Amino acid sequence: MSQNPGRKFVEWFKNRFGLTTTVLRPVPDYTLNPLYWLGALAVITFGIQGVTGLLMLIYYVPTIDQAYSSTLFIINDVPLGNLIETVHLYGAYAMILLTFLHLFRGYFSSVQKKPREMMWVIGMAMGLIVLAFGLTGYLLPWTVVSKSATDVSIGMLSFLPVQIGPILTFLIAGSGSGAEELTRFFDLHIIVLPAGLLSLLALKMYMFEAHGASEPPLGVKKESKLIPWFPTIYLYFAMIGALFAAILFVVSAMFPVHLPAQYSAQAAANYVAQPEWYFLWMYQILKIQSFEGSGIYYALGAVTLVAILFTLLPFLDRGSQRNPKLRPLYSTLGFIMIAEVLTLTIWGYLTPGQVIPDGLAVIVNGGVAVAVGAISLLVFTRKFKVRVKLPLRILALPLKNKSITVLFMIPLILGSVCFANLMSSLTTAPVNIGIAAIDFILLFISFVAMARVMRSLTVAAQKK
Amino acid sequence: MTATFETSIRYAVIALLATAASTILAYLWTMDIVSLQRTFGALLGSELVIFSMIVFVYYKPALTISNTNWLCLGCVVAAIFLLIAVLISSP
Repeated sequence: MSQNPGRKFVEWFKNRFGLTTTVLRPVPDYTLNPLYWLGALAVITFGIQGVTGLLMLIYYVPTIDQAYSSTLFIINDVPLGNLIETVHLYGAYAMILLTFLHLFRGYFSSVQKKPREMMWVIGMAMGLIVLAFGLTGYLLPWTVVSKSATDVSIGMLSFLPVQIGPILTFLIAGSGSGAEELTRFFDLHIIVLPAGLLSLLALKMYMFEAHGASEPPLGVKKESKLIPWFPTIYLYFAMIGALFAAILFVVSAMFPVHLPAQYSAQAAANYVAQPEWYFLWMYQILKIQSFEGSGIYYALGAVTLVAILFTLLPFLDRGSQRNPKLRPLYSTLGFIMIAEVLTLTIWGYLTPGQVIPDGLAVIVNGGVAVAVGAISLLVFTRKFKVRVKLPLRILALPLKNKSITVLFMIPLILGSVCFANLMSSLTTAPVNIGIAAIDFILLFISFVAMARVMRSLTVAAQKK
Repeated sequence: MTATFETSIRYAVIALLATAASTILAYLWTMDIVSLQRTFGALLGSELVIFSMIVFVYYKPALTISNTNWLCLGCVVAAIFLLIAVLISSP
């Protein structure tokens, strides 16, 4: 019996390339879903960025005199230069968008649960590197838009504690001259960040092979089977990869890049600095009235704290439940976070350079959080029939236990004063280590005292 | 091997898609891709969608309603991308 010619070719291909001995373990059939391949699409984009970046590197000159003119030369005179530059720009946007989608897909599917805790942490580090790619690459054309936005970002480093800020500023931007800043950003963009991302990618892939794909949060069907990489998974990967690349090419063809004006001190003076869309949410937070000037510490501190908590999520969320429909708290927090980021991004886009009054910020951000939270809880209780227990009774406890409340207020006030003093002493040169240590000890004691009072309150409530 | 109706349809679809892909390739070979680089990008996009559809036919051979719908959608997307290429190329 003669064999199908297509099958014959596949067999030949498989044997000659040694694909039968592939090191990649077979994957379960439930992973044949585009949502499982968002990270892989980000890796494809990284490959496209590498190729287009290398092509641009042939003509790009990283000096303040020639960065803009060489970029303009690539766009206007190099054969296919406009398309390559545009694909590189939209590829960067796609990579950041895919990273965010991959992150939230993982969050709602609880992929961070045991034994994939460290995969989550490494993924977060990779996400930071992707954002750093955006930041460093943005400066390279040396336009008034990119330089002004980068100056804002570097300016934020000066608000970091004196032990970290100046060192980081020197490492990233040099001694302050534009030439050094451009060279550092160029080196970071083409050497340090790719090396970092590739190393972490290799580590994550190794861990993925060790642990395998995470199971769907709603459970696995009994008839689920393992599929070898060749040919099915390769074909699937080729299919979605080609579709994604097609969209990238067509969007690039439809909306070609136009380079803004070249950077000069005069041009920058008449320009309102505005970051790229993926940093707009943070920019909008920094524009809130209370966070202007020295208040920026609190904004940066809060954003850093959220990032740290998000990174440490696998160690904070220890429950075994993975179904998002049965995790009302974490699902609602996820929805609120997405809604806030979207609101701040759109708001930031619509109000460039405007300081946002505190009251308006509270109404808008608080309103979004309350509305999304209420809708989410309503959906969970009505549609999914999940019993959501809100600890509302605890709000009445301070009024019922006035003496304990007064006891609680003492360490609270002491702790607040110590915390403010500690932040002030750490961020003002010269740092007084002695006072900072005393503040820290008093803060710790206040925390312990508050925890004890809270515990006695809870015990009292349980007894009643 | 006796070709069933289903496999005949499958080969016909692949042949049609491959013809479209090779026609685009032939055009790409003759066109001035340097001055018409945006058109080149859009044609490359439609070429990639067609490649993706050929892979899809191989990967999901059964003629189910769902598979046929996805295939039709892919062909429509490829056609839209081709239209975009034509529109971009016109002065």
